[in-house]
Amino acid sequence: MIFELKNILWFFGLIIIQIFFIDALDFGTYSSFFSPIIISFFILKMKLDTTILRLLVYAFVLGFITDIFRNTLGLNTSILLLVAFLKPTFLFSISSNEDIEKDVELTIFTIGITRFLLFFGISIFIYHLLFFLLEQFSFYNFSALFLRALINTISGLIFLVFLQYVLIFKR
Amino acid sequence: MKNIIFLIQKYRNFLFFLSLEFISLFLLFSSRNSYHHYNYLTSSNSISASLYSAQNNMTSYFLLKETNDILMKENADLKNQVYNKDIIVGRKYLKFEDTIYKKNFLFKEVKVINSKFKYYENYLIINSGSNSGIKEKMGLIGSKGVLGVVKNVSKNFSTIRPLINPNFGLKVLHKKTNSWGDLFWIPEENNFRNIFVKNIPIYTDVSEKDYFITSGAEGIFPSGITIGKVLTIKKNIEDQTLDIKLEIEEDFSNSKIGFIVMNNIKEELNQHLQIK
Repeated sequence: MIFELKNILWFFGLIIIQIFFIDALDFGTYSSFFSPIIISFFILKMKLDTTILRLLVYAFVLGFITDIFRNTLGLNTSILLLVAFLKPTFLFSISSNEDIEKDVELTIFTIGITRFLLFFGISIFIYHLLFFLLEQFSFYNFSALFLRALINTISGLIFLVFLQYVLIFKR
Repeated sequence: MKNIIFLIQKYRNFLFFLSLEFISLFLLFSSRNSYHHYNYLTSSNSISASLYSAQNNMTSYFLLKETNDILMKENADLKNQVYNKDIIVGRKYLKFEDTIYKKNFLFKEVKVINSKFKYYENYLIINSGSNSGIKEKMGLIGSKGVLGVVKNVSKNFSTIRPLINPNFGLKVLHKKTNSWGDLFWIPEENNFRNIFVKNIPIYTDVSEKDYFITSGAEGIFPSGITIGKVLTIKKNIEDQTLDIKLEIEEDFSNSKIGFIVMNNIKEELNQHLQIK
């Protein structure tokens, strides 16, 4: 029960943080490099024993609400679905099956900083790369796009680490 | 039959993923082509727009000082107009007795409550909608120059397609030589401070810091409103045209006030535009 409540809070909290805080940040000319999308954190941090079906439904609703706010109907949704589906692939490409307990949330405190950075780094980078590619819908100027995805990933990771230290209580 | 059911059961995760992905991609591509079908699924719907307006209520306090400066400047300009009986449009003074011009356009002041300027398809939201008489394809000008064109209208809010959107198109004039050009905002090469003007003939005498203004050809904006000034000029030998980069006069990261341009004789003009 408490777990469900926490999940609901994370769900809406992440949307609010994404839309009213991160999207509102202004770095002048370099703004496009520092506008990470962190809503995928909700999907990525889910316990390992969550079924893929549930994960996909969460991803669809989360992406859909974010898309309505950002006027990019279907863009976040499609990529969030892909990330949700490929989550086990990403996770087990950096660690073996037995390393991680099945009934804990995947945060920086439970899986350790190295694995956190690797796992979340890979998934969020793929997210951004696909997002910018689908948004632009061409391979024009790919190097700039790649750099944009990379810097956005790094800034997103920094923000997520910060967020977890603030919002999650350590035991 | 049994085998098919077994197959579906085995791959149900993947099939579910595929169907959801298909729905989202369908939404993505159909929303790009025919935007009007999804009026309720955009940020100018009442729920998201009212949340944005609450955010604007909070954050606008931090910008009060700057907004105040702009307002004071604008006030001074308006006083100038009243006393001199001139109508100021961009950087150009027009005579008060210019009756066609006066009847032609009406201005309604609006507040920009949300501005997205660092993405691919950027947009603005303003706090007036169809209740205030705003319709699609009306122009929006800021305190310094052109902001964009109304794209989507709900009862109390509207979405604006700004200059800094790849789908925005407008005919512009070079102020000094009256040459016609077309505006292009290319997201991979431009940021929210600059924009390209293309299709200007190569022999045109354009120099840096020249102004480009609206032509008034489509009837969306009055002619003579500033768009920006020239940053760099590049010759395109193949097409015998100039590629000009403009610095946009209006700063999209902090534009807060604007004026909707209502053209009273737009329908009449449209008839002529169709005849050609």
